[in-house]
Amino acid sequence: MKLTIAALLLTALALPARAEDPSDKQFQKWVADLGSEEFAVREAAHKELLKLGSGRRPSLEQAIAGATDAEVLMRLRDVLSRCGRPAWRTDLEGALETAKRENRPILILSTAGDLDGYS
Amino acid sequence: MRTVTFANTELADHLNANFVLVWFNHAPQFLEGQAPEGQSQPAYTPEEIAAYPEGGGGGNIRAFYCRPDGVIAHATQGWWGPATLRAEADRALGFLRATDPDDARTEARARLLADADRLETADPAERERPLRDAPNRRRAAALRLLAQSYTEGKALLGQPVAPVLDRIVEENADNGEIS
Repeated sequence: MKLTIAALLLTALALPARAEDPSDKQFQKWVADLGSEEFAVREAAHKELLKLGSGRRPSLEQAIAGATDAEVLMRLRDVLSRCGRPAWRTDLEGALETAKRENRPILILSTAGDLDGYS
Repeated sequence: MRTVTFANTELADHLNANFVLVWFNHAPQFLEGQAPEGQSQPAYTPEEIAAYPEGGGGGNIRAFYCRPDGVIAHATQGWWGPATLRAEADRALGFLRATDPDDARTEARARLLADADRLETADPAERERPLRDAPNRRRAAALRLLAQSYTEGKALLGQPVAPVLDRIVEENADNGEIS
């Protein structure tokens, strides 16, 4: 019983890393969902694709080459432009809330200048 | 740092996978965060980048590694290349997961200093060369700066990060300079 409680506590305290790279099937589904008639589905798929690492650049480039829908293309290009770049947030309060909700550590880089400014 | 260290996609992937990332401008009055009109961020040559010492910049660049509840678990200062920052991020994750984070941090600092000692004597021939031509001695200097920033950051550990950032902004505004 004590061992189970200890194990449960350790699991709860564990800091989750991002999920591993998704399968091709899952990737294709998210790309397809970018063209869904439901906004919520398009947004959710966009959000998932933004989590992809730079290893998925070729898949994204391929998807862009095959896309015919304007919104799908726009969203894919947005994902590609952000792929392999740090997902910096500038809203400290929002980021702290996200970190707490997702139980993820935070790295804050404090420097002189804005993200897209002179720094 | 934005155009060099964080242009490294491997580092970006690693940081994205393990942290919520925040870019905080602690000197919003400095050029209003923007480049002067007509100017843009200078593009440094590979030679200039290679020559810029790791650990440079001091308090102008600070990294705060925080728990999910926003409490500071580790803090460093200075500019770091992709490999050093990657290693530091991994060390910070280790501190966050350690049963005794203070202990873990103390040990890590001691290892940095031991590595610096080892590098300084790795190649006796470097003693006859200027520092810019002595990669082991330069690396040793960088590790000593990193270890020093552990000491300087210790006072901030355990504090919520938001008020600490507010104080940094106030200090910069009061001093009228980037400190």
